[in-house]
This record gives sequence, structure tokens and C-alpha cells, in this order.
Amino acid sequence: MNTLDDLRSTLHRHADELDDVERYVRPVAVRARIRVVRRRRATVGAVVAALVLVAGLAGAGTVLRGSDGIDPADRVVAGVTVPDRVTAQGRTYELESLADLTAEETHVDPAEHPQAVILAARGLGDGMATLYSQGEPVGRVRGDEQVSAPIDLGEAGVDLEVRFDGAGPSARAGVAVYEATDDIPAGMGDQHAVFRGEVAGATLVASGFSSPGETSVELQFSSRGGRLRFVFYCSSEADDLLLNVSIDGKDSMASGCGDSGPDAGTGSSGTTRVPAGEHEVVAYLTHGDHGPQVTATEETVFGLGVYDPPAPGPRVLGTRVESQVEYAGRDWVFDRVLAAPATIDTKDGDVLLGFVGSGRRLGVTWSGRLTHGESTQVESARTVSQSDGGLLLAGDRYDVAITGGEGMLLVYRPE
Amino acid sequence: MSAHADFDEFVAARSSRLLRTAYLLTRDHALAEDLLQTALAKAWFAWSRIEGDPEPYVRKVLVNTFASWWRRKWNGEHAYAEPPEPAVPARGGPEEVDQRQDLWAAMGRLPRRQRAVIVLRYVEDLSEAETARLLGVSPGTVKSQTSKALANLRIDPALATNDSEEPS
Repeated sequence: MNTLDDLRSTLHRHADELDDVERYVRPVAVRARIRVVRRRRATVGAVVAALVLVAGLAGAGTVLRGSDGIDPADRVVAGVTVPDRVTAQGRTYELESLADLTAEETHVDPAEHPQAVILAARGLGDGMATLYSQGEPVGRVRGDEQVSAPIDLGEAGVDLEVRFDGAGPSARAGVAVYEATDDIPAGMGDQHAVFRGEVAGATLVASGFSSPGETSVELQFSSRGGRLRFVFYCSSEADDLLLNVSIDGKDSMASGCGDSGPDAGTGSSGTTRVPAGEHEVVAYLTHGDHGPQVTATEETVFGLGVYDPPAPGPRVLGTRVESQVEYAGRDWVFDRVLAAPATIDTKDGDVLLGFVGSGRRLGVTWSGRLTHGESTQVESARTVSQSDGGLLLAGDRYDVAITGGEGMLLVYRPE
Repeated sequence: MSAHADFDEFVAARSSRLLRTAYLLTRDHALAEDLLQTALAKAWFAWSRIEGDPEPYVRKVLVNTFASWWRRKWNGEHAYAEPPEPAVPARGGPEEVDQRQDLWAAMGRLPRRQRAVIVLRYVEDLSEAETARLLGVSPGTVKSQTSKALANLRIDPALATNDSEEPS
């Protein structure tokens, strides 16, 4: 390449020589695409239209076509007006569809972006409505609360249903389904993923992703000294890759390379102390432990995010527990430690149950009057580890126990 | 004028310009048309809340669709050694034509985000700040991506043999 002028003129010439033969039929083709999208959305929205007509509300019969300027009267489900957009962990979600689930289930189609749902309910009296996604309880509205917090649904599509408890015959419940917009969360990202500016109270200090042809990602930053969290990003189809991190020239930590998601800041991580001053961190890929270095490609991408975490929680069984965590699209703060087994009353609101301990198949189970569940089991026979257990929905009393090892229970409250 | 008529008028009158951007990003006419129609269909659902000229909004959707979703939607593309399009009619001498083709092929070997930055900065003539806003990244990232893209073009095998002045 000679000059930027060559670059400009080459690109302009190629663009100029493009013959836009489709321009006269393009409006028709775009319309056809829009109809396809609307039909998909109407699959869920049609349920709403019928129920709104029964209720005789203003704006009845309008099938939603997105969140653009939706009149409040068209944002009513089960008698509750829902917002046309919500935010969760840096992402904006716009209203896609409504469905009244008072008497029947609904299916949420897969989407191109992550989806979230709000449970809306009215006329519950002293009772409550619980939302189930794929048979698992995920949200609850009690009494006159009317709406739940946004609940993460992912992108794959789910079956949703509502069950009432102690509610009168006039109780109604429904869901508002939202889809994430194209807006990228605040933070540092590229086409693969984003290290959000803040994750569970931790602030981003530095981050970077590999570009094809590079063998390392190098970050420089200054620190006041103290604990820093190093979050790994690695996406590759190869199964023997190891992402290594050297801090100030010393190999410090490594993690297996998997299929990291676009929300890079929530990936696997290691925490270590660094002294005050300037630091240089290098992330690089190898084939196995001490194997040859691997060059990044479009398909093999790695990166690293450095976060300054909030002050840790108390030391439990010799390990510092997290003072803030993210779970199910929500932020949670540490509340207290309980010896297991224990009874947890959630009359004040939802509780995130965590646990810390050791065991070959360490986990936690909970059983309430309305719902029960169990956590994923963690293999931690020789070391103490912390893990999220599960969501204990508000308005119940749960008997909670540790299984497969010994440990303590951690209770987190919504931030 | 209704929003729908307004949208149709926009597509008829302005989409050719957007197709140029899509073509420079994808380097393939059919993919460019697909990308453009995808972006226009997305924009339709937000049409009534777009303030002012809709073109920047549609361009933002177009570029981010290209740059962000390549794993899902655009993974069929390959960087061809030669352009998949019919060769463009030659202008200038053979050496100049060869160099343009080499540069065009080298553009195809750039990572997508770098390609997008080059198109926005040097074809659309957007500033670093405007490019950053459009891509949803910091101006510093635009600067580093631009620098990496130009460095990649300089060392591209098709172009590296040209002894020449540095891009400025």
C-alpha cells in the first residue's frame, strides 16, 4: 500500500463500480422480511390481543410491533402496565411481546439477542403468582407488588407458565417479554465480546482481545496496590488450549480455553494481590501446559480483563467470600453466613443462596412450601470453594442443606 | 406522511448509499444486499423513534450487525485471494489495477472490526469520535484498531513488496 489516498481511492472505486440493480425492488424485499419478523412476534402477541379485548381496555387489539413509542395502553398485560424497556447489567432490553398466562402457558420463540421477562400480576389479594420457565420457578409477585424484577431468559426460547397460591378468583398474571437491543454495554469490547465497565461491583481497570495473527494480548495499567481480578476470555474449537497470564514477567495463572460468551466480564477468573505502581500483564495461548504458543485467528480468540473488585466479604472456612455477585441478571450483596442445615425465611424478598465448603460432590438443596430445588454440584474435594446455589423466591420458608461434603451457607440479598 | 411511506421513501432514495458501505464491509454483492436488508428491517421496528436523519441510525445497525454477529449470521464468508465479484472494469495502467486488486484482497483479510473502522474513517470520512459512537467503543479503541488495520495492510503479503512511503 502506498498512501492513505490509495486506500481511499481504491475503496471509492470499488464502491462506485457497484451497480445497485436491486434498488427498485428493495422496498418490497425489506417489507417481506419485516412481515416474517412480525409473524414471529405475533405468535406470542396474538394471545395478548385477544385477552386485552376481553378486558375492554383502550388500545385493545393492537399487536405489538416492538417498543417504538408503544402507547401505555398497549403495554398492559393482566391489567398491569409494563415498561417499554428495561435495563439489566449494562444491556437495554426492549419490549417484544405480552402474554396473559392466567389460564394457559405460552412459548417464547428463540431470538437473535438475549431475552428477559417480567412477571406482572394483579388481584392477588394476600396470595402470590409464581412464574415457571421450563418447569423451574424463576420469579414471583406477591400481593400488590404487580411486577417482578427482570428475569434472564437467554436466547434459546422457553415455555412459560404461572401458578397461583392463595390468590382469589379474580387474580390475573402475565408476562412481558423483552429482547436485548444492538446497543453494546458500556465497557471495552470488540466484535467478539465486551468486558463491561462494572461487573458485580468490580470496576474495569484494563482489558484487551487478540486480533488474528497476534500471539499475545498485552496490558499496561497502574494500581494503588491490592487485590485484582483477572478475567479470562477464550473462544476456540481446539480442546487443548491453555490461556496463560503473566504479571510483570512472572507466570501467575492459567485457565483452559473454552467457549467464552459475549459477556466477557463474567468469565472464569483468578484473583491475586499486586503492589502499588505500574504493571504489565501479558495473556498468551499455549497448546497444553508449557506447550508451544498459539497464534490467534478469527476462530481462536482470547482476551483478558483486569478488574478492581469491591472489598471482600468475611472469611468463611478460610476463604474470603464475595461481597457482591451477579446471578440471573441481577446484582446481589452479601447478607450473612449460616451453618447448615438451616431454615431461610424469604418474607422480605428473594434470596440468592450460596455455599462455601469442600467435598467430592458439594452442593445445596432447598425445599419450601411451594418450590424446591438443588444446586449444581461442585467437585472440590481438597480445597474450599465458593459457588452460587440457587434462587429462593420470596414469600416462603425453605429448609436448606449442604450435600456431598461439608460447608456453610451464604445468603445474598438483591442490591 | 405516514411512518410507513416515509420508510419506503427512505429505502428507495437512500439505500444505495448504504449498500456501498455494506459492499465495502462484505466485499460481496449478495452478502451486502443481505446485510443491508437485515439492517433496514431492524430499523423499521424503531422507525418512529428515530429523531432527525435516519441514515446514521441505519448505518449504525448495519455496521454493528456486520461486526458483532459474524459468528452467527455471516460465518459463510471467506477472505478470497481474488475478489469473488466479477473483476471491475480496469482504469489506469496494469500496475495500478493490480495494486487496487491487491489492496481490495488485503482488505478482505482484515478482521471485521478493523475493516469496519477503515471504511468508516476513510470512505465515510467519520471522525474518530463519530466512529467510536457508531461502533459503541471508545475513541482510543478506534485509534488502536485503525493503527492495527493500517499495519496489517502494510504487512499483507500482497502489498508488502511495494517499497513506498508510509501511510500518513
